[in-house]
Formats: sequence, C-alpha cells, structure tokens
Amino acid sequence: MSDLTATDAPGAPGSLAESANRFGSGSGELLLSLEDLEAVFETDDGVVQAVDGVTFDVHRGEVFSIVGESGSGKSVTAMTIMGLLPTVKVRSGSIMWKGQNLLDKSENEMRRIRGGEIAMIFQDPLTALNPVHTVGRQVAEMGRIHLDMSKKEAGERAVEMLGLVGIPEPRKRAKMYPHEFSGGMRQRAMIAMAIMCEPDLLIADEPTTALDVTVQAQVLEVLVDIKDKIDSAIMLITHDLGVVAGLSDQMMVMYAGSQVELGTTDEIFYSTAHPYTEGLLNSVPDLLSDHSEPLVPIKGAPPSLINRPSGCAFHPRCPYARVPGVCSDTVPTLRDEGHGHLSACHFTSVDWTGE
Amino acid sequence: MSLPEAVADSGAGEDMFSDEVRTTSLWVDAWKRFRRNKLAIIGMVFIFGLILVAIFADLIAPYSITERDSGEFRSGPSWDHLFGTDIIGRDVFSRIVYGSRVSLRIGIFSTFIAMFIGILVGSFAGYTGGKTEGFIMRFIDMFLAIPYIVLAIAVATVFGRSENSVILVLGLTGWLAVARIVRSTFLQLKKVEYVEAARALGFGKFRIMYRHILPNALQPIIVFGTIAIGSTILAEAALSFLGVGPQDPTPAWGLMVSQGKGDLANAPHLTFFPGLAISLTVLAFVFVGDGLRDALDPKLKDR
Amino acid sequence: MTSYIIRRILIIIPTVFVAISFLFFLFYALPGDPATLIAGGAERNPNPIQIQQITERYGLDDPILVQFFNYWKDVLSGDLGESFQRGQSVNDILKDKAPNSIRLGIWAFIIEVIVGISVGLYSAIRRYSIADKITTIGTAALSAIPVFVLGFILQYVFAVLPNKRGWPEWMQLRTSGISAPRTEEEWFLFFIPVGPDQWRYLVLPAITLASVSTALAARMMRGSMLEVQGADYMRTAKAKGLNERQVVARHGLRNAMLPVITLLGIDLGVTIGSAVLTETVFSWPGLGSTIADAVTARDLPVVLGLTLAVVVVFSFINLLVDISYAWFDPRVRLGEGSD
Repeated sequence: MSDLTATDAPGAPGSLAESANRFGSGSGELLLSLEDLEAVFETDDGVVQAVDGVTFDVHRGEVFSIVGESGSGKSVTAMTIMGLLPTVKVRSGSIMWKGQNLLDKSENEMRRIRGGEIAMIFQDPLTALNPVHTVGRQVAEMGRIHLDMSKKEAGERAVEMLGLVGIPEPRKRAKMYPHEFSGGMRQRAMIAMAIMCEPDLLIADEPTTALDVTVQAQVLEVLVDIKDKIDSAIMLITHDLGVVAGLSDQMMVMYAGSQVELGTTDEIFYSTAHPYTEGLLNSVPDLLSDHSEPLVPIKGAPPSLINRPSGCAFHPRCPYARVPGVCSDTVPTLRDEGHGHLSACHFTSVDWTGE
Repeated sequence: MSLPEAVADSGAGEDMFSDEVRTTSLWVDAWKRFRRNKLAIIGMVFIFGLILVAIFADLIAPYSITERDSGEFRSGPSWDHLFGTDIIGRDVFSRIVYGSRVSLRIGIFSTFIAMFIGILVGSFAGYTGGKTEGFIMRFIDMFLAIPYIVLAIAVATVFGRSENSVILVLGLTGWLAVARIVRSTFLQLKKVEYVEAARALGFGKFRIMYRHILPNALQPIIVFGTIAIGSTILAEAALSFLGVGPQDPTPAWGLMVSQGKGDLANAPHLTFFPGLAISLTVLAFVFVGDGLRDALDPKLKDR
Repeated sequence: MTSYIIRRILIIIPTVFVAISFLFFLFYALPGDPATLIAGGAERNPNPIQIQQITERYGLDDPILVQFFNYWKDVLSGDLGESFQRGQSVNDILKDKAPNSIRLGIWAFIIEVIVGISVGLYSAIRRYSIADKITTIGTAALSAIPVFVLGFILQYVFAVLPNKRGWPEWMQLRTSGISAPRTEEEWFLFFIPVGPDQWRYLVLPAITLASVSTALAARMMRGSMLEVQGADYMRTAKAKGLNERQVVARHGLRNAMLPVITLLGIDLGVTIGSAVLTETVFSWPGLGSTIADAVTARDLPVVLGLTLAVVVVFSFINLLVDISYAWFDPRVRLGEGSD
C-alpha cells in the first residue's frame, strides 16, 4: 500500500485537498478525446519520442490535470492538441474534439478553433503578453477576430472580462501595459483574454508556476470560478501536486512521454497504483508533519527521450523494479485497477510489497 | 532553447562527472557548429590564404611594386600582367599581392590596440558602475559624436601620412566603440549569480573582473573583434582612398582605387581589382565573425 | 519625460564644446607651425614672406589660449570664421553646401528605411527560402564593399558603359555634380527634385550612400525579427487564433523594430562617414566633400565650423531617435512597472 499517512490524505481536515470534494466530477458531454496519440520530433541527435501513446477524455465542467516532471511530455501534448508545434510529427493516434479529428483539420479551421473553442494560457504572463500593446487591446483582440466585434464592442467586453476575473478598476487597467501589472493580475488578465469567446475548453499550462505561492491559490480559484460561470472544461498542466489536489476531478500522470496513471484525483491520491506516482506523492513536503522524517526524493534523473530505457521507462528508478525481468524487458500496457483507474505497471500495488 | 531540445535535454541519466565533460566540450561544440556553416568556412579559408599570400608575397608576385613595364600603360589583364598595369606601367597583380601585407598589418594591429584599450576601459567602467562609469561613458559619447571620418582624417593629417599613423588613428578612434560594447556586456554579467557568490566570498574587484567575468564576456568580444578587423580594413581603405594613408609607392588597396579613378572609362580594371580585393577580404571577416557568433551562442535557436 | 529631453539637450553643449576644442588643439598644439601647414606643409618649402602674411592675417602668433578664446567668442556671436583657402565666410559655405548634403541624406535614409526593413522582414518570415539566402549573402556582400568602390561600379555600369555603347541620352545616369543649372525652385519640398535631369544626378549617389546602411538595417531587422518570432507572446498570439499575417504585423513588427530604431540612430554616424566618400566620388557639392577637401588643405576654420554644425545636428538626431524609441516601447516610457 502507499505510504500516505492519514493527515496528508486528500479529504483530511486541514489539507489543501479537502476542497477537492467540493467539485464533483463533471459528467457533462464529452468534449475532447485523445486516442493513443504518438508525437515525435526529429532532431540532429535522433528522434525524440515526446508523446508515446496517450489516451484520455475530457468532459464539460470537468477539471482534468496532467501531472509530470519537466520533459514528461505534458506540454507537448497540450501544444499538439492546439496545433502550435509546426515541427512535431504525429505518428499515430487521433485528437477528437466534439466528434471531429483535429489532426485532419486545415490550418484555417484550426485557427478558428484556437481561442474560439479551445483557449490556452501559458506559464509566464509577463513574456506571454505583448509588452508594446495595452492589456485591454490584447484582450479585446480576441473579440475582434473570433466574434467579429467592432473596436468599441470588443473593448467593452474586454473590460467586462477583466472585471469577471477579479481585476479591480478594470476600465482603468485596460489602458495599462503588461509590465505595469503584478504577476497575479497579469495571469488573471491572460485568463480574461482566454475566456473572451467563452471557449469550451481552457488549457492552462503551468499557470501558477511563475507566481508567488500566496497568489497561486487566488489564480486557481479564478480559474475554477470561471469554468463554472461559462460552463467549460479545464485542462490543467502542472508539476505541482498541491495545485492538483485542490481542484482537479480527473488526472493523468505522465512520465517520459507515456501516461503511467489515469483516474480520478481521489483514486490516484488514495489508491496510488504506480510507483512513480507514489514517489511523487512521497516527495511532497508535508506542512503538518513533525519534520523528523527526511524528504524522500525519487532517485536518479529523468531519462533522455531519445534513448529511452528498455521496457518500462521508469524501471531504472523504481524501488520495486524486478530487474532483470519483465520490468526491463517489456513495456507495460495500461492496466485497469477498477472504475477506469488505469496504471501502466506490470504489478499491482499489492505485488510491490509482496517480496 | 526550442521545445524539442529542451525536452531531449532534460537530463540524460548521466553520472556525477558529466559536468567536466560538458565544460571542455563547449569549444568542441562550438567548433562543430562553426564547421557546419559553409560561409564561415569559406571565409576562414580565404583569410588563411590571404595570410599566406602576405607572407609569401615575394614568391607569388611576379614583379616588384615599383617595376615598370615601359610600353604597357593602363593595359588590361593579359598573360603577362594578370590584372593589367597601372598608369605608370606597374603590374597591378603584384601590387595587390604586396598590398595584402599593408591591409592585414593595419587591420590586425589597429584592431588589437582598439580592443586592448577598449576592453580595459569598458570592463572597468562596466564593473565599477556609479559615477566613475557615468563619467567615462559621457567622455566616450562626446568623442563618438564627432563624425568618425572627420576625426580620423584630422588626426591622420596631423600625424603624417603613413601606415603607422593610420594604425594609430584607427586604434585610438576604434577603442571607443569597443569600450561601449564591453561595458554593456559587463553590466549584464555583473548581475549574474556566480559573480555575487564571488563577491560574497570576498574576492577582490580585479580578480572578479578578470578571472570570472571576462572569460564569459569573451564570446561577444571575440565575435566583435573578428568583424572589427574587417571594418578596420574597410576604414583603412577609405582613409587611403582619401589620400590620408600610406603614400605611393606603397600599394595600399584604397590608394590604388583612388589612383585609378581618373581612368574609370578606359581602364576600369585599375579600380576594379583593388576594390575586389578589399571587398573579398572584408567579406571573409564578416562571414567568419557571423559564423563565430552562431557557433558560440549558447542559446541556439532552432537550426 | 520632458526633464529627460531637457537634460539631453543640455548635454549637447558640452559635447560640442569638447569635440570642437579637441579638433582645435589637434590642429594647433601638435608639432608643426600652423602657418606653414596652411601654406602647404614644410615639404613644399613655402615662401617665408607668405608665412609671415598668413601668421599676421589669422593672428597665429597669439598664444594658443588667446586664439582659442577668440575663436569661441566669434562662434558664440554667430561667426564661424573665414576659410583659409578662399577667404569665404564659413557661414556662407555652410549655407551653400548644407542643403545638398541634407537632400542626399534624406533620400539615402528613405531608401534605407523602406528597402532595408522590408527586405529584413521578408527574409526573417521566409527563413531558409532562396530569398532569405540571397538576402543574407547579399547584405553581407553589400556591407563589405567599400562605399567608394560601389560608387565607381555604379558609375561604370550606369553611366560610363551606356555612354560608350551609345545608349540614348535619357537613359544615362549622371555621375558627378548635382545638375546644371541649379536653381532653388527646382527642389520641391526642399528635397524632391523637380526636373528629370536632377533625378539622374541624384539616383546613383543616393543609392551608393544608402547601400551600407540598408544592408545593416536589413540584417538587423532580420535578426531582430527572428528573435521576436521565438518570443512567448508570439506563441500566445498564435494560440489566440491569429493568422500569420496578423501575428507578424500586429505583434511581431513593433517589437522587432525596437533595436532597429536604435540602429538607425547609430547608423547616422556611419552615413556621415560614407557621405564624405560618396560626395567625393560623385563630386556632389555637399558638406562631406567640403570637409574632406578642407582637412587635407588644413583649412582649419572650415573644418571646425562645418564639423560643429554636423556634431550639433548629429546630436539632435540621436535625441530624436531616443525619443521615438520611448514612443515605441512603453516599458521605457513609463518606467519598469509595479512588480
């Protein structure tokens, strides 16, 4: 069984994740469905297997998180959905959006979808916003492009959106430049920009990583609040488990380009089924502990995506790995642990401690 | 760096000692990248060739620079005289060959002087900051306000018209621009963490400047220096063209162009060949400088 | 903002003072009797009576500081002195030649901005295309060819050759001078030539003068645009659903222009250098060729007076460039923001 103690389990009083139970798993319509997506980059040093067979669904009203370290492929997945990586080659798989495969769409069609139906916000709002245009103008631009609004209409709506995300004195702020905003407000402005056209899916790529901890919670709250208001879904990409615990319904853990665990947040936190996830959870410092136990990192370093380890990509670092054996020989397939909780490990959690 | 490289780069499961391998291979990496740049290689080959020509001029040039072939004035290229002859019958080809010495000498020496003074002043200003820096930079700005050519002509006129005075002039006017660039580089590097660490450890000012910052500032300096040699040769050509450099019979290329300008209609080869020599030389340095810049740039953008 | 401008203008004064004084002492305080220099230099063995006359005429036997003081006294009352060579008032020379240089300069600038920026922009957008490769090599080559060589090449190709091959008169471009006869009415809006004949005199020198700067501007623009293309906000713009043209025009261009604007200012210095050469090659009667002649003739008042004018103008133009930079980049305008 996993080593989580009672006090840091999701749902326990005093933990960040207590609030996880507030947001039910959206059982709305199916919006996004990835099926065995494989994407690679061809570089001078070899072929980089960035995304290796990823499958998941996102429903309306849901918060779906993708968790993983740098280089795990989570950002590439998101960018491939949006079609923002011209150098990536999709080897196989499909990206179904509202029943249609995005990979088959023309660039013109994709452009309409970008911002109009699927919007994305990025990690560092200072560099992601154009420094020479006012914030208001950048937000309004969405309206002018996708909704055919006049300059005035778009401007009005932009002010409205800025107010919606909790920016005080939105009309005054709209005339200011990005560098005049604080970090948290900039990110809110990005969110305002993203929701101008009421997209059905909001992809947030590490939205809080560049922010102060105190501001992080606020911005996340804004995100979820907005999701409810415009009845959309959120795909949250992060390496921070604390962020996920608070608001995610479903989540997926990625490692070295593959998905290693998929399920509801509760299942993954409570009934961890993959050694990597377990390692991640163990390495999170616990505010409530008595500080006598040392932090437990995952030994080793993430693998190169050009020369991946044989068999299970995680086996060099896995405390339970049977090497030599099936762990180093065979790539594990996703196994159903029950209720759609999938894990890519040859063994169940019971087996780990068996020896 | 681009996404694919960042993704591929995220650790490669290496051991503790891989850092050593990394640092020594910085130059090897740079050389590999440099090699791939066709233009830069062409430039480098040309420069080496030019240096060889300068060294072995005696063996390569069929005639001396003052020898006259009476009977052949202003004649075009022929088997006897590959580039033709000039107004008083001298072989243009030989003169251009010997002229390479002049250009290279002036280019290299004056750039060297300019770089030396410029790096000293610029690094000092950039690192010290405050009033001293402000004062130095104002001083430099004032002299930069004088149109460069006027200054150069004036100084050269006073110092006399010779190769050495050109070297002096170009060096003394050139260091201004070098100092500016070095200073802004130092300004940036000053704020880097390892400098703060060195300061915290109590290292003295000069030690920090020259042992820690300068090696990292080398990259833009090297690139600038290479291109600077090119532009110095260009400037020297301009000065000799205006009559302010080495005098006849020294075969300074710029001077040769000016000597040929009266016969443009009938003997275009007199301006063309020296002009070509100047252009190709400068171009070679530009290519090499560009190649160096791309090769040494750690933030390689997607190929 | 205004205080910044005032400060900059005030700095121009000491700058001019230092620069001109430096030149002054350069001519006077270095070895060689100035009167001899004026008479042509010791090598020419000038007539001692002539030297005496020159010395008296220009007060050259006064102590240097006295001469220095007198010079500045005159300048501040608007008198730039008298040419040693021709006795003409320097002020008149200035009035006569300056407009020509300005006209040439304006056209070179127009060419540089339009051609340089569009070429740089295009080759950045269509990177790795044939156009880009040609541009890269072309601009490098152009910046390596000495201005005077280029001038001669153009002269040969467009003026001498057509002449020799017997092309019709109207197709030949002119290589020297500004046009004949030249009257004030022949310039529209001060810099646009009216008669077709004048165009023919203007074309070659303008292109030559523009060449180096255009090459530099194109390269700078290309480099800057390439950098901008990799910026995060460009990715955001694409994620918003903008098409390529919109991304480049609305988001990329303005950011890419910023370093180019600074370059345009610095470029001015280079252009002035080239102006001297270009004007000499094409015998264009402007400040550049006049200064060049004056320096070699040791005509000190002309050198100092014209240089003074040039330095002042140059400094003001730099100021203008800096101000427009602030207009382009709000970060500079309003300080660093509230982080």
